Order: sequence, then C-alpha cells, then structure tokens
Amino acid sequence: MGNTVLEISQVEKSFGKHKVLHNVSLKVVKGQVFGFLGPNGAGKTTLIRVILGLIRPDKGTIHIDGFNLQTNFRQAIEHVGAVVETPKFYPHLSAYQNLLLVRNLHRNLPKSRIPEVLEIAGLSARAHDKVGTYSLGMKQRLGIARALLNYPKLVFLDEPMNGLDPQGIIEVRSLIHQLQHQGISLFITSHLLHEVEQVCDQIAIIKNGSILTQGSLTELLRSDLEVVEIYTKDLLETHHALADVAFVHKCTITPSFLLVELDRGSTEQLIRFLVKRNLHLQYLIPRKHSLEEFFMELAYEGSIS
Amino acid sequence: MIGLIKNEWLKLFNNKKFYWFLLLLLIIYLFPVFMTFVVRMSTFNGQVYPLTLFGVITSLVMPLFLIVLVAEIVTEDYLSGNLSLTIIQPVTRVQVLTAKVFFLFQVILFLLLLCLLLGYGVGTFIYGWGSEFMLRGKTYSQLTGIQLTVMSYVSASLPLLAFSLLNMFIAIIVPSAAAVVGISAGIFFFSTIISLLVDIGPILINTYFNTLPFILDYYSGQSLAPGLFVISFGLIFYLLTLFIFIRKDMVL
Repeated sequence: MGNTVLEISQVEKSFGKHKVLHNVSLKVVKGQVFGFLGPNGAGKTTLIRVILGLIRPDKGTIHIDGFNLQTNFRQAIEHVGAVVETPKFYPHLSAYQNLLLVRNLHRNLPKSRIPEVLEIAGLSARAHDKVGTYSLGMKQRLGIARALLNYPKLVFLDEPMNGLDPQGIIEVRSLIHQLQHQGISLFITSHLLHEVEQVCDQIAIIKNGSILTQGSLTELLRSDLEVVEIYTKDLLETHHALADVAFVHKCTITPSFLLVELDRGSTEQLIRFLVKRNLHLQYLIPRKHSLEEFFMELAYEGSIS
Repeated sequence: MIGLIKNEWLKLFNNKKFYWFLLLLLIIYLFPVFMTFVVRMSTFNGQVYPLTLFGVITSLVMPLFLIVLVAEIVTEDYLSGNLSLTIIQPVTRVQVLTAKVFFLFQVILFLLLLCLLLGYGVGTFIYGWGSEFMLRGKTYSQLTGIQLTVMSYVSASLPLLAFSLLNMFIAIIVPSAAAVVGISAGIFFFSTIISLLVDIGPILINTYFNTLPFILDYYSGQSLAPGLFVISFGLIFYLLTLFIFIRKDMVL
C-alpha cells in the first residue's frame, strides 16, 4: 500500500436497473498523473463521485492514502482536492469568501493559505470580487485553487482545460507539472487527448462502465509495428519495390506519400533498401501512434470507420 | 461542526434577501404606530407592545421566511452543486445536516430576540413604558409581564424549528427550490385553514407557533404536553431527513 494514494477495488454501481460501473479497479501511486478517459456517458464522473463519497457504490472498496473511504471517510478525504465538472461557487460571495467556506471545514488550516492558492491560480488581484463577475476560465482556475487549499496528496481534475484560452491551458499544464514535482498525485479526465498525452504518465480508458485498458502511456502506445510516411517522386515504383520486402507489412499509396507499416526497428533497413534500389527518396517521417488514435481504436471499436 | 455553522452564517449575512427581511420586520413593528396616528387612538404601552405583534410574527411572517430559508440552504445548495462541495470535505453527512438544524435554530432565536427588542424599543420610544402590564383583561406585575413576553418569544423558537424540520424533509426529497416553497407554503396555509374549520388543532404544528396561550396555561399549572408534541414532531422529521440524506446519491 505504501506508495499507493488511491486504490479502487471491484467497484460496482447501478442507478435503478442501469449498471453504470462494472467491477472497476484502479490504482494511482504517489506523484503520478493519471489520465482517466472515456466517451461521454462512459462512467468517468460517476466513478469520481464514488471516489469522493458523493455516490455510494453497491459493491467494492476504495482506499485513499491507505484509509478506507467507507469506514474512515474523514481521514480518507482530509487531503483530497477536487474539481468535479464545472466548478460550483456562491456567485454572491467573493473568491476569498468561497475559499474561506472550505477552509472553515479543515482543522489546522491557516487563513494565510487562501491568498497563497489565489496567487498560484493567478487570481490575487480579483480575490475580493464577487465570483458572479468571473469568466468561465477564472472560475476554472478558482476551482483549482480551491482543490489545492488543503495541501492535497491527491487532486481530481474533471475536464480542467474546459473554458480556458490557449494561455490558460498552458498555465494549467505547467501547474500540473509543478504539482507532480511536489509529489502530488493527479487524477485527470479530459476530452483534450493531446493534453492528456502531454501531462499524464498513466491512463485508463473506460467504456460503458468497464475499464477497457490501463497502464503506462508509453507502454500502451508502444506497438509491434512502426509506421512511416515516405515522400518520393516515384510513388508507384517505390510501392511496387516494397511489395515483396519481408519486414514491410503494409504499404498504402496516398496522393502525396506512401504510408508504410514495418517491423519495429526496421526504419534504417528501409532507408538502405530504398537507396540501394536508387529510388528517389525525398524524406521520411516516422508516424507516432498517438493517444488519440489509441483511444479511438479502443473506445469506438467497430462504431467508426 | 462549528465551521459548518459559521459557513451558513457567512452565506446568510451576504444574502440580500436577509436584509430585505429585516427591513420587513421593522416595517411590521412600525405599522401599529402608523395606524395609531391614522386613527388617533392608542391602547399600547412599551410593556405590551411586543406581544401585540407576537402572533403575526410567529404565526405568519417567520414561518414564511423559514420556508424560503430552508429551500435555499438545502434544495438550492444541492441543486447548485455547493452541497456536494461541502460533503467532499472532512465532515460527515450527519454533521452537515445537524449543523443546518443548529443554524436554523440560531437564526430563529436571533430573529425572535431581535423582534422582542424591536417591540420593546419601538413601543417604549413611541408610547412610553407605561404603568401596568395588561393582557386579555388581566393585570400582571411588570416583572411577570416581562417574563411572559420573553418566555413567549423564546419558546416560539421550538415550534418554528419543528416546522423548519418538516420543510427540511420536503426540501431533501423535492428537486426544485420553487416546488419546495410551493409545497411547504401550501401545507402551511392549508393547515391554518383546516384548523379553523375542524377541531384538529392539537395535531397541527401551526397551532403551537403562537406560544402565548401555552405560556399562560403553563403559568396556571397546565401540563407540558404541547412541548412534548412539538419536540416529537421536530425529532421525527429530523430523523426522516437524516435517513434520506445519508443514503442520497449526490449526482449534482
């Protein structure tokens, strides 16, 4: 258990006859940025609500920082911060007062922590303005500030980039890295898969309430095949030449390049082969298996072409 | 728990509706003064003035205010997602609900004491303190008059709290603040009307809002049965609300 900050074991939940979580098990370790992905309605927010004690699971156990959520709720939740969906505030209260409401519920949390987190979120100048006057992006940042108030060990960020402009996205991304360096674990859901790819080191994909896969991002994106784009003036000739090459699995002609799938580690061999055959190679681009492709393959398998 | 109660006060003191309600109370307490000058007739003095308006305050104004307040601190809080935010802090659901009950009790007491002071203040300022305390044709000593007045105001907090707990029960099961206000106000007015038509007063909580007759009965040696009814009524609805709240899935 030592290094594990979150352990979910065989959690199940139904609303009426509709089963929304099937036997879900996950583990997040200290300092890890965990990306939790899935199509709309897959059960992401429901699972976060179950972990936070907002929804009671029908079955299964949840341990946060070694404490059982069901039997030691207060200890388990003491160092958890969360932004679930769009962060909610009292619009007629200021940012400072909204944070004071949370601070009042934590023993031994000094008031001086409020300006600290407002500074982290870049909201110090507007601390005493009513939240009703804030833009969506500012509310999102205030939500993050609130999640950091109690010196959390684990932070849940449900769609943290929602409503942020490009500058805001960069700031949040850098904040996530900062928090990770401080040893804080993050549990992030996002539809922006390239963002997840940039900040997460572990991911899990959920669909229809079941975990389809989970593991380190590098491992999951690793494939037995490499894909390269070959740019040449002799598209047809090159295509013909590659037809009988043993390490080439597939070669497809597109209007401007050849898309070639070959054995992992065979790119150099491919270049030598093309040069030896005097084929006019302009350049070659290795194509990385992106999280987006991986997600689409897994989450929408069979439902999209 | 103290933090939870502090938070409720912080929210209330930043709510404009609360200040409008305080203004309304002031207007109500000034209304008889205004009437005195219109009809040029006065039977008041500072000693009896607070009890003159006691019935209106406890049987109509306070219950309606409490209906709105409960809808706001329970249903509105849930629908806005802020109740969920409280629940994910290191506090139990029992503490969250109980803190709301304590807060309501404090608000009721605060408002009743404010009304009491307003009554004494306005009455004495306009009419003078007066030489005697006369109530329902009977004269009491000044000290007994103050005792009767203070006890009536303070004891009204219990039936008003019991009524708030009924509202809280409605607020936890009805997913719309407007519907909570409508249903609670409907129950309130319906039971007021029905108590005038049918003799079922003792089993209606409205009967106990105006505690003055019960205080007078108590002074003449009557039982504490009304008090027990009020406490049982409140306790039943508190436990029912708690039972539902603990099991509620917070999906907002």
